[in-house]
Amino acid sequence: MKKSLNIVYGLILLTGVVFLLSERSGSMIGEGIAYRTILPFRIMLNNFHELIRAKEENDALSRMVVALSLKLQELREVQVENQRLKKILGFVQEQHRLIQPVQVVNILTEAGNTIMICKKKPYTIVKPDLPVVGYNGLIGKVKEVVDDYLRIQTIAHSMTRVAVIDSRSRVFGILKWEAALYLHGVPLTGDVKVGDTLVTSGMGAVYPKGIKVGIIKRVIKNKNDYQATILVEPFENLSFQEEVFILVKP
Amino acid sequence: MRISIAIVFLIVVSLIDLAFTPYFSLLHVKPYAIILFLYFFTLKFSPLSALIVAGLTGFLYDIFSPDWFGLHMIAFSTFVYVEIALRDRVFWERMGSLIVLFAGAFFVRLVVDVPFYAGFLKSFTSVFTSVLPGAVINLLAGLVVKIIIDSTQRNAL
Repeated sequence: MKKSLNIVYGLILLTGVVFLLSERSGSMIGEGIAYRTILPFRIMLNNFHELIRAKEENDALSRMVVALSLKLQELREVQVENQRLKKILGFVQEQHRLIQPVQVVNILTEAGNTIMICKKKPYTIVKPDLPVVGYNGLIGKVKEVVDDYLRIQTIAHSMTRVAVIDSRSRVFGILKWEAALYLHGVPLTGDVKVGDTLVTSGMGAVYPKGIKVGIIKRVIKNKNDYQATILVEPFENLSFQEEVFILVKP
Repeated sequence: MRISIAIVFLIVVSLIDLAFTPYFSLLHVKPYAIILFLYFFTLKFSPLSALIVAGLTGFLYDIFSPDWFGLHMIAFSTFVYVEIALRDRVFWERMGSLIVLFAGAFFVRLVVDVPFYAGFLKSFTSVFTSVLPGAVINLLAGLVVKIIIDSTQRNAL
């Protein structure tokens, strides 16, 4: 075999080995070589993969948008029908509420009870007892308003009571914080299952009907008790929030 | 003219391997059409150009592969180098010479595909789930290509 061929093969082999070692060795020189030779290509490749991923995500989101817009249209039809039926039956119409965002400035935990301190915009009018929600569900209610600051009593507070309903079986209960969130008032025969979603029932006049509160994590039915012990996990993370929303009556 | 056709082939083969792998994979085995290309390129062109093409293609594959950088360069150039070394000892017109392609494909896949870092069991399993079936696919594809090339040459005569 020709000498030139051996030299070329040797050079290619050496380059490959240098690339391999430079990436894996972790030494300063190796990292330097890897940084100068491989990194630009790796970045280019990563960008290319990012682009493909973004396209796939975009396609999926587009499909979701279409599905959701169809669902929205369907729900609007249902809403109109619902309002018409309520009017026929003479039910009281739920007043539409405005969403007022406020910034959470502090979250305090006193004796296991969680309180949020929020700052509102100066011109907005917020009164006590208005419900507060997050992106995923109920947070609590406004307890006190001092200047531009609000004190929000979350559902993780022993003084908070929330009337809820099981969205599947329509069983009623009262949520109460006792170091964890428990559903009270459900008899042993009550149809509640792990994984059921609880929403506000609208009773008590503080929380409007239909706000998601939490999911049932555990159901204990002891024959000696007259009601089931039901542990609930809230949808919202009550120990960390950046902003929350107050549902204001117009 | 011949070299331009080879370049077109190289681009097509690289695209199949790098961009369209999910569409051309058989039972999750990557096609590695580049092995075929390098095998026939080495037979038809000068050894030096074949070795350089192998090195450059290996570099290109290393860029687009998430594995260890440099593996493709080493594997492709070694495969071509061995093929060049065997050039004067094997009767390339015979079908039996395709055993070199099979061995080369097995070697390249063994170097590139086997996840040695993932432990013995996983590496050993991948020899039978990826390397061997892949080499067989390359062999069969090589057989088809050889038949096509031979018939084209016969017609030309």
